[in-house]
Amino acid sequence: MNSGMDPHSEISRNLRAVYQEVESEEIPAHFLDLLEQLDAAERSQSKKDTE
Amino acid sequence: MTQVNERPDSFKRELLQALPSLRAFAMSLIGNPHNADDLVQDTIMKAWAKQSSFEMGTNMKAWLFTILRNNFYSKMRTRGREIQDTDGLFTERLSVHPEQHGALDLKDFRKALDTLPDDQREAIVLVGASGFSYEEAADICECAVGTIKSRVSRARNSLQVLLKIESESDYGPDAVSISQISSSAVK
Repeated sequence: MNSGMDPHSEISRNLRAVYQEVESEEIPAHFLDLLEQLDAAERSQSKKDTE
Repeated sequence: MTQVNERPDSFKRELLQALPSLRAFAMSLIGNPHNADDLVQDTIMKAWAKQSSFEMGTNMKAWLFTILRNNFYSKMRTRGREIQDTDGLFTERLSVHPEQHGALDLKDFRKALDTLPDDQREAIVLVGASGFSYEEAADICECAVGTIKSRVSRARNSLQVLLKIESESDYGPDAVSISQISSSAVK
């Protein structure tokens, strides 16, 4: 009974290859923009709160 | 009554770090790049709104994966399944990189992965590709560790069977009958 997935097995290698194909893509710009907007909105909100 | 965060930037930074993996997980759930990114976007919005409930220092990646997964299943319940036509999409994506060596093997693997039931596929992806432990995967999927273990092991067995059949169908006297089994198993 093995305790986990053998990281060297063909299945593990293929799983990681499929996954890393997406993972290695650049993060789409609209996600970065979205985070900036959320961050900016929060900062201006907390400024208002402290005023 | 927002909680004052000591390091307001670290939440955003950690979220950013987890994004590539989150996208890959979304893709493994949905199979369609456009829908996968919609799901990731919803997850970012939800995570941001809930950030006061996240304890800095705990596993942000697992927390985000849980949100994304819940989001995915609640959407599937309301919209119904719309991830059937993955065959064409994979071909489409593959044709973008025809020069890539070994792409055919990966295509076969994707096909085989796609035939797994959702719960088995997500279990083997979380443990075998996302880098989560069985315990973390169980938390994310809100089930017992034993359940995750058995899903992973069933997924692995199915993949082994499917992949072995496919590679054997390329040659040998039984090529015809095996490829028939193979194509009926993969569809």
